[in-house]
Amino acid sequence: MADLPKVKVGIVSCSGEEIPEGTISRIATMKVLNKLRPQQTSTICLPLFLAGGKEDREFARVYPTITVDGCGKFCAKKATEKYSGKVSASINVRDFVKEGETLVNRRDLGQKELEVADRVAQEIAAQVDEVVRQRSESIAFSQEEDVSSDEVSNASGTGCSCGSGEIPYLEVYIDGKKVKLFYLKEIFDFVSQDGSKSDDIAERILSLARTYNVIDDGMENAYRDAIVKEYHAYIGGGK
Amino acid sequence: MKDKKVLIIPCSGIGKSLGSVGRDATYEVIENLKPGKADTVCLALLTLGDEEAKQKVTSNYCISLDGCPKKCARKNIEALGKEPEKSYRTIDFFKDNPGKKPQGIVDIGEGGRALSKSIAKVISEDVDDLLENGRR
Amino acid sequence: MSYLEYKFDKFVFKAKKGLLYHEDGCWVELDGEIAKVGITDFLQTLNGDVAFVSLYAPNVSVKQGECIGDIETMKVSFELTSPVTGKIIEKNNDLDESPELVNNEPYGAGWLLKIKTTNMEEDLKNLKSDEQYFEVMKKKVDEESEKIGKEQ
Repeated sequence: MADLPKVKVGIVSCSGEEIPEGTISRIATMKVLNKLRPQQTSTICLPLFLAGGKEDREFARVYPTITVDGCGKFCAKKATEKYSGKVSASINVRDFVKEGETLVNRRDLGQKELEVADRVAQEIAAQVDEVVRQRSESIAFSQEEDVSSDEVSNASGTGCSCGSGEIPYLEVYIDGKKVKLFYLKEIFDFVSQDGSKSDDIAERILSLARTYNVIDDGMENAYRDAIVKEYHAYIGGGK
Repeated sequence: MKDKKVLIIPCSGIGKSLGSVGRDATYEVIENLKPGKADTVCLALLTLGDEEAKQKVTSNYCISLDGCPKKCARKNIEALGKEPEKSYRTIDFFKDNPGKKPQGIVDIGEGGRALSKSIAKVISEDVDDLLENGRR
Repeated sequence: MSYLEYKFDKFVFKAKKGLLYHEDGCWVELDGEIAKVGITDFLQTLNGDVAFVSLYAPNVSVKQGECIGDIETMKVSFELTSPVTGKIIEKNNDLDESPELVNNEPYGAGWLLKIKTTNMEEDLKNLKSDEQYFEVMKKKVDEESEKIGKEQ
């Protein structure tokens, strides 16, 4: 049976050089990446992201992201939404600072700062679990399964010059606009083989498409109609 | 010129130990070596168009300190129409100091701290030079 | 140029078509009896940013499977193993000033050495085709998945 890509969560951390919370954000994020959830997470380098890093932006478009910010300016969240799409969860370090507590060290974290970093790391991990649970339910995909090999389809996208390669997609017209939908062909292959009943197929495909693409609230019907039409054309005539 | 400061802007790239070294070197300069004369600004804030951050950069001298050849700090500053007065990559300092290897991202270790000090020394000389003589 | 590509996380690992590959991580591009040698995309991604490249000099004779130099990255130092037998005729001197070429263009400007081969008939038995190497590479990516793109 066709395999679908494993769900991974991108963590985008603020770098906030001016404040201790920026350093706490980094430390908490690295703890999740290296210790708490190494298999389920990937880091997105915010400066590279902002400077135009295509592989990071593309990753953040396709996979769910959790942003970790150090202050009320929410740079990580804003950057992700500006260049990639809606985030799955947004965490602010300041929410984990006890009332009346003042953080001082931005270089070598003291005991207070380390405790905050721990609390933030636990929250990031919990959010990762929730995001993975929701997404994985929709593809009934075990986290222990290996990543499938995936020779990139040249028919559906152009390669990226920075070496990021392409994430396969199909272009579909939705409400008159051409929209790129990632892993759509893979979803079609998966659904056509997994024995879904014809009544369920539309919802199944939409649910799977949501795993890899952002579908705005209120647009579900338009997406469903367009994708199902595309699916029937695909299994009827091939693409 | 007397009211101006020198902003040290590291990339703080989270994926690499050299990003952490650059960040540490920045703090060494602004907190220990040249307090009051050097400062930093959040790169993300700057790139997202925060007016206060932009004003800080345009009215002071800037030194960018990147962790890898992708030079994100420099690129993000240039995208605002400003060329840093000086630009460094931490990997180039490592090439000149091969014994000072950082051990990790979260904890750069003894080697990383030694490298950070070497970088901070050079940058603090730049701070004095810029405040004394301006951009050349 | 075309590649075989394996996607993992936000990385795409490439094996350039038309090259031969040695199990220890070097590729070979043959032009008559001259072999151009470099390291694979997998090896450079796994090991991180290259800081120093130290290679044997021209006129040195090398054997397949033996050391031809080493690379130091911000993560590790590792030895380079010659994929062919012969005499080194040229070293890529650009790598002294710009070792990042090994990371940025492992199959292009980041090449390491040119070797005039003397035992290709035998050496070929220990080299893989692009497709054979691609299968090996995919397994290695899966095995090393926790280390890829991460420094601790």
